[in-house]
Amino acid sequence: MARMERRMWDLLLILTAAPHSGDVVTSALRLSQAVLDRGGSVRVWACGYANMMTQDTFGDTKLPNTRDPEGHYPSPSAVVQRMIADGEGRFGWIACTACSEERGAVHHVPQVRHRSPLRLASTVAGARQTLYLGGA
Amino acid sequence: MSSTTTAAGRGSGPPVLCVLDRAYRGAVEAQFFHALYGLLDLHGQFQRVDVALRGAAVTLAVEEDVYRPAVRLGTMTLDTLPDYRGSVRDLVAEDFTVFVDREAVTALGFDPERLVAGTVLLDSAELALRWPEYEQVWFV
Amino acid sequence: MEAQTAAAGTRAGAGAASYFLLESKGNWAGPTAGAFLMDAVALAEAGHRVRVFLVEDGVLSAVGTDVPEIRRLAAAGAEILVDDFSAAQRALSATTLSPHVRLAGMDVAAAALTEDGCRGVWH
Repeated sequence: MARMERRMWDLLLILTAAPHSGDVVTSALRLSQAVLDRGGSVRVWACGYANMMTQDTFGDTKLPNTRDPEGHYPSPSAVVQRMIADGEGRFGWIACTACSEERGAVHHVPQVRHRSPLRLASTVAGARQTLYLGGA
Repeated sequence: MSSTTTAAGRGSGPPVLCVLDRAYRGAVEAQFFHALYGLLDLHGQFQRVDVALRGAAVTLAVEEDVYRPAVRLGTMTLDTLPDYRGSVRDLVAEDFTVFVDREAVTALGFDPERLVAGTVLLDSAELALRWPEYEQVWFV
Repeated sequence: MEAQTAAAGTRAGAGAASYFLLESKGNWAGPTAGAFLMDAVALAEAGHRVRVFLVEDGVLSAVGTDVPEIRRLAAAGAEILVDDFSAAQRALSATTLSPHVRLAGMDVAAAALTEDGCRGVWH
């Protein structure tokens, strides 16, 4: 019987801080893009309020900018969806089911995978490098 | 909701001092919707809204020409990241007083001449002495 | 778990590990904020390969020549990198950075974190 090869991701980012609390989401996405630019693969595991990033309630654009009402401002979920689409299988986003439920943030965009926190260790084992971005 | 405006175009709400001692809260997710934009939007409701930048937030008021508020994510260039210095200029232009903490500016080695024109450099101790001028003091 | 052999070109001996430490808070975040940089000092002084990447408010620790943690890191042979985007965002081109640091892009962090044997830790 052939052994199933587990896919190894180059980097797993466990993102726990809330958007808008600081610039950690920006750093996580910038680091992800830098790994992707090198041909590598990145997965983000969203914990805590980071799960707000991928709610389907956003739509594609942010609320209107009262000082630039015609401007185009992609929503957080649109940014993540775009990175997933452009990543061609090398960028993935996982929503922690427990954190999502705890915060009432359960309506994720369809591109997001849902995982129970019971699968965290195996998800870490599936990456060559894991960074835990604290701040929840 | 409309507010009663004064002859100068301000609202009738009480005078407010907003102190910002924490900055850089989400470039990608916030874009234009950062704290200084929020303050600009409040303006019309209150008689007076002034802003004090403290700690690392003083950097929001330092003029520079290196930062480009853009980042490439996937095939998209997101060029709507916060333009903090632009917002400080807007605050000054719209008649907010923007206080900048002198101690923090000195500790970070900035020349006070580099601050956005029209901001007011103030010793830390002096800011609290101005609190009685405001009905509300909010640490934003 | 055994320590991994250090990469070539480091001053560490056999059994030394390679660390890439990302500091997003730094000294301006409060009284205990320098502790992570001191963890880096301890690792470097113990002979491990240490690279510190200051990002977000962490870049403020690179300002001036007076930051003891930066001096000790440099003295211990650690490499100290400053995220160019975070530095630009905070107008650090208008002030003087420590001579012990150098500006670097996120591509440097990506390269390090995808090296075999490099252990990443984020604060």
